[in-house]
Amino acid sequence: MKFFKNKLNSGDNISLWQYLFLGAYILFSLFPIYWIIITAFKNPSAVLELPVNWIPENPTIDNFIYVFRERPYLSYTINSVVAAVSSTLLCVLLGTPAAYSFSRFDFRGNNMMFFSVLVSRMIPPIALIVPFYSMMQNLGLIDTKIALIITYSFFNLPFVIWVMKSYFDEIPTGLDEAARIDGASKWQIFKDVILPVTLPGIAASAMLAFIFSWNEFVFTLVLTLTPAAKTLPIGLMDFIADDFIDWARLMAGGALAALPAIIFGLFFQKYIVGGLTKGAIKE
Amino acid sequence: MRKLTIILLAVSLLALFSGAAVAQDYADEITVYNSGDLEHDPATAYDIQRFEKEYGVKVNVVEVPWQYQIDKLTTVFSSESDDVDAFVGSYFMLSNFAMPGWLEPIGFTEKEKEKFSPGVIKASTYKGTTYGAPLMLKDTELYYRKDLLEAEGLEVPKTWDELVNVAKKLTKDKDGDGNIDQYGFAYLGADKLGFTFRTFLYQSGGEMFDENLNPVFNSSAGVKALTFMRDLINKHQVTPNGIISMGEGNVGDLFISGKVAMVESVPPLHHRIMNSDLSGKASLALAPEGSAGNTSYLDGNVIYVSSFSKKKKTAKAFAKFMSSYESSLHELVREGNNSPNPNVFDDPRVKEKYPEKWVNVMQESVRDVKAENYPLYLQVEQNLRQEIQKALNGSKSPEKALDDAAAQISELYSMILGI
Amino acid sequence: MLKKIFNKYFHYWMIFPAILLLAFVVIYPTFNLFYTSLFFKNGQLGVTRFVGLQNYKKLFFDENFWQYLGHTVVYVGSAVTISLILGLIISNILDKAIKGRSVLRTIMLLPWMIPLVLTGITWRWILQDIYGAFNALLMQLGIIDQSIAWLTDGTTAMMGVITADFWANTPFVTIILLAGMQSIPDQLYEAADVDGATGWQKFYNITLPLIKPSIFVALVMRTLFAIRALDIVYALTGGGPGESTEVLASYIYNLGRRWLRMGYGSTVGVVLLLITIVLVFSFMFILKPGSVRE
Repeated sequence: MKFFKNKLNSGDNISLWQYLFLGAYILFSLFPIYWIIITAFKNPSAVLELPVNWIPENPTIDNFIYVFRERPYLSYTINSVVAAVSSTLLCVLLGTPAAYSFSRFDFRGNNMMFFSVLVSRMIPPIALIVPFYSMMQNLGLIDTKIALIITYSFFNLPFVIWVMKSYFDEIPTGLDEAARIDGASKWQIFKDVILPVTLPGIAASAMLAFIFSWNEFVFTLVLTLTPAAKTLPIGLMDFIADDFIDWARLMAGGALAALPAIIFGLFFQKYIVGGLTKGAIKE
Repeated sequence: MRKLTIILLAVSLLALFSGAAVAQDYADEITVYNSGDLEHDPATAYDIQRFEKEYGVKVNVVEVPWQYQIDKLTTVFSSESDDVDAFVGSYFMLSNFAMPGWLEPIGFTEKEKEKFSPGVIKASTYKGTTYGAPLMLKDTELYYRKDLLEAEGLEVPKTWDELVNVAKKLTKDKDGDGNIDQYGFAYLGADKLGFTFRTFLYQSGGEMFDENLNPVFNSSAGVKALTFMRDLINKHQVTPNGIISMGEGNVGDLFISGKVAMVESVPPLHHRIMNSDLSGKASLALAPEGSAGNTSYLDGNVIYVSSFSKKKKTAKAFAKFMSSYESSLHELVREGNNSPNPNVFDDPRVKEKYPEKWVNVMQESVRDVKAENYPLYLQVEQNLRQEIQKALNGSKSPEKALDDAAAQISELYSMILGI
Repeated sequence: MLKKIFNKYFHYWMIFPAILLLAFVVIYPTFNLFYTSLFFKNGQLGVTRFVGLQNYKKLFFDENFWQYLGHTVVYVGSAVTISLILGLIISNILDKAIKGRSVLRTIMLLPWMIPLVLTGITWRWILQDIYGAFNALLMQLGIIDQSIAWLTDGTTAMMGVITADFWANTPFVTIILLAGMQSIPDQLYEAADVDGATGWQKFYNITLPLIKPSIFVALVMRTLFAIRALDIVYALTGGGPGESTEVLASYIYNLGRRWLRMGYGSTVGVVLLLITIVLVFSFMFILKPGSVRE
């Protein structure tokens, strides 16, 4: 199965205006990132030099070494990866069968349940912080990765179900029928016939769940205390004090925090393209 | 059995190291929430280690990002959790945490209180009970570029009027392109605007509230203070209007980058100066006087003990330890945080670290600090900060802004407290 | 026997684990939200008193609520609209045969990968007066003479917050729309070419209607995230100057978590939830994302 078509004919060639627009947008996208990166390579005492040095004089990698050597950055990274990957797996494992069921079977409460799933994601999360904290505390899960995995899964499961349902909707029911006539059980149809076809959709929803987990801040802040569970976005706060912000190290830490997400993104990008909402369209 | 061993161990340790503290039944460990990363608080980290050694108590430090400290502690306390035994908090958090009964009185004797600057004890006391053990304080001082003032033959300003005059001479277009390259003066903005306003308010003889909790900061003294803050930006044009959205760190950045010749800021800045290119070029002086002296608003950190803690005795011992002479001295020498105990400045170790002139300024400034405690501090502060910003960016007159803030606060008090 | 039961209730078995997890974490907090909204509950006073619908009445006369609702409309409205339009244009370009397409796609994704808190702090620095990078750039390019304090004026501060928001979130929209465009069969465009359609006509008559479901997904997810967005606003402006970037999400945060007015905070939370539901259902009604399937 080819996920990604190199179409040559989806419209005309690119006009000059489109090139200019794209160029401007790319500059806009990259400007803050460029700023983050050059700051990360500057000597902390040279960060505030004016006029601004667009190319750092005497670039240094000390800031990157510092965040790993002097800060528990490795723990933060491991926590981030463990929490984001586990909750992504959990969301996909639980969300895919549910989405399939919502898509395929006409049972009592189908619509109602599907909409409750969506609505559960519309509650302003800020209103849920204190109940979440009490709950995790009663379960003894404060400052554990398990608390983070549960929280992230709660946030992302509805999205995964939603995206996956629209994907299943697209697959012709004829496929199921044919398998049934061959004597396959419902489970077999799901596992052996439908699931392989939806791999790109799974990759895409996994990507969404991963990035959203990776960047989650407000809840993680409340649920973690020590490097045993703190994640990268919380770790970045180490560099921000009341009286001064350690800009160079903050930016080095920030660039490093984005790196695993970028690698993950590159890995899944080709699946995403052609995967994400393809399912919503039926010809 | 284990406890006994620890006690024996603690006793022997105490006998060995200090001999001063009486052997008591302390808990094995306590949990302390620190405001921010201990990496930025080397003195606090050092004193915690000393406490662990002397008392045989393990201190688990949880580093809470400072901007989210109140939110996080509030979550912990709202669920009546005993997760926190003690925490490093700000003076201004007192009413918000004492009112719901979350704090345990420290139990200072009168004699113990006497060693602190009176303003500090007042700021740590809510309805007659002292809850905070002062760790350090941030009082407003004038930081200035010695080199720039000398080059112009200017004296360090001692009054508001002199401040304006000197600032005008230091506001310059150095390369002659019609744009200002160096501003004369800046004060703390953004989340610290309320603090700056209070310093100017106290300096012109005003108060925030009267005894019956009626807001009185919209008095003529208040209007004078806010008008002064606005005039520095608009009329005299010696202060960049960007500071309205610049907090303590940002204004420090501005000074360190050489874009401003004088700032009214708070102590950790002199530590920053000493570690920057400005070392030797910058100096400090008392905040210039208004019509009613140079009282400074008091900000800074205290140790509070949680009333939900199951280890209150140990936590209180910790709090007292952290506010002792020796700990205050370390805060000053190692971190540059001002000492709530004015006697600390007489210590030779302080004079060894900082120029004598600085030490005298710090000591004198610490003696005249002030902060008021009133209910619902956080919401009051937000109302005040919003209205001050509106006055400064020209969307309201200072009179109107202060009257509006006072009206909002009165309404809040009548709605929630029934006053 | 067991197998028969499994097969009969197959659809429920498939849904059960997911619903269980959601129920576990969502039922109590949600119930709590509605329940608390009926109380005068103040953590500062330690008082909890049943007041029925009083809080809702109070909210109706709360000037702050209406003002922050207005800011929320401006913020969500512009951030979502701009990122959708940008996303449409960019994905349409990247859908075509353009050199270095995969490199461009990767670059385009980058802002999404930066943690949101860092996005807020970085933009705050960039937009700062005097030593901000944006001012430095504009001055060196000779566009302005004197640096501008972007975060000091209410309007420009709001623009700054919106810019940081669509900077960070447009990649997400682009990816979703691009995926939708990729699945449009080539034959449709070929047929249009035969009829001599212009590029714009093809976009308007073929691409746009066919990616309606993707637009719907992007629109709803972006709206959900923008309505609750707190990280960027807090890091960038803290709600200031004045209260010009204060939104409902930050109002709920302040009420419930800083000022401990839990009862009233929950009331605002319930109202925001209702607004969100109405909004999403009206998107559904207007866009009819399912209609393409017919």
